Amino acid sequence: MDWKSLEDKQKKQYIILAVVFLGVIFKVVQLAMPSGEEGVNPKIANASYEELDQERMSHKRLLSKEESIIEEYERAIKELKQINENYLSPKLNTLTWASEKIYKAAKKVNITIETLEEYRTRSSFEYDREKAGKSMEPFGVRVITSCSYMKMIEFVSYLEESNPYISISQINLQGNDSNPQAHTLAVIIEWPSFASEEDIKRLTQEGSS
Amino acid sequence: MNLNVNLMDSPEIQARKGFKKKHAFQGLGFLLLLGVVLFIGQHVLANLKEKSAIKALQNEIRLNEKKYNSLLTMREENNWAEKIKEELEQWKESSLVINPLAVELVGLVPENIQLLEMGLAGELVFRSAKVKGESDERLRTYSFSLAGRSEGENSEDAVLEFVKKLRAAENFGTVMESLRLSRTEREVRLNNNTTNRLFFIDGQYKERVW
Repeated sequence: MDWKSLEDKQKKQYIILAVVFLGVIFKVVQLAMPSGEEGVNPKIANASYEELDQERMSHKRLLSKEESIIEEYERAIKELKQINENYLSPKLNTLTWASEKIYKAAKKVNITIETLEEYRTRSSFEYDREKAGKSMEPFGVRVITSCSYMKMIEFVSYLEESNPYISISQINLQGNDSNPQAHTLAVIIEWPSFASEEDIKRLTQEGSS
Repeated sequence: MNLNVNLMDSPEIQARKGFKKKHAFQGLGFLLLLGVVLFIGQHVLANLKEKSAIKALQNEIRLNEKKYNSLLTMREENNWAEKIKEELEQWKESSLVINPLAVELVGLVPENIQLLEMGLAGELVFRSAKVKGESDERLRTYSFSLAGRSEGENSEDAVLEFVKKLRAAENFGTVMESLRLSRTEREVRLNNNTTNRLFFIDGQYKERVW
């Protein structure tokens, strides 16, 4: 075939044919190339075979532990919820909550509470909770009463036994010479409390979704 | 003898020369095209194979993705809950339990000693690391104080004996950083000839990590 001897019309036909041929080749190559798919995580859609294989293996490893992961998760959340409901001080109406516990203990050991007030522990405003990486902060109350030494033991023991997380952070027993049944007792009682509302919300939502 | 010259006419020789050149180009062109087609074909086939394998992997991953993500979240939440529980355990472990301490004290006080005041003051302390790379310290400290009166002729000895007992006691000296008799004085407030002595003891419990 001599290009020069071809007519213009024939030349045009050959050029069109060549363009179509190249287009077809391009399309075939494009179809054969790995490409992203809609609805697939972009990380997966654009990953190489090796990356996908690694991903599949890590899926497989985690899925093989499905039962134990669910079991551990449910147990941990259940325990934390129980601790929170029974032993940690709430964020709202905290003094009311604490008063109920204190009056119950006082009634049990038959002493009269003279004063009960919220107590801002030095620690709660002096230490940097965020920096310390803590989720909890102490909530404290100061209780003043009159009682004997033995009654003090009963009162404190009742509080300690009723809540394993309670902390008697300060205690001062001032003797009364004239009446050993009525020493002046000042106690500061602390409960741990979630510092952040977000953590409480997070715990409440766990297991409910 | 040259056969070409002798047996072929000049146009025939020209035609033969033309035939050689034309076919050589055509053959070369064909080989080139074949090479290109084979190369592209091989490439296309390899890519098709990989694409199909990738698609199979993607499908497998996609099929398990929801469950996988849910398990990842559960594990994350489990770690969070465990961390808080651990923090609470540390809180509990670092707190001084008053009951055994108060009960033991009853047994340690001799008959001729009367306690006038008892104090225990705890504090949460956050101490920044002094050296870079070391972790910060979170501690709970307790200081202890006791005031009392020793009566009778051997009041001094009784006080010293009491301090010795306190030092050896399970919930006092053995778990304390320090325990000392800080002051002792004759109680002359009511009677100048008295042998009664007032004494003051203070101590510091060992720091506890919380």
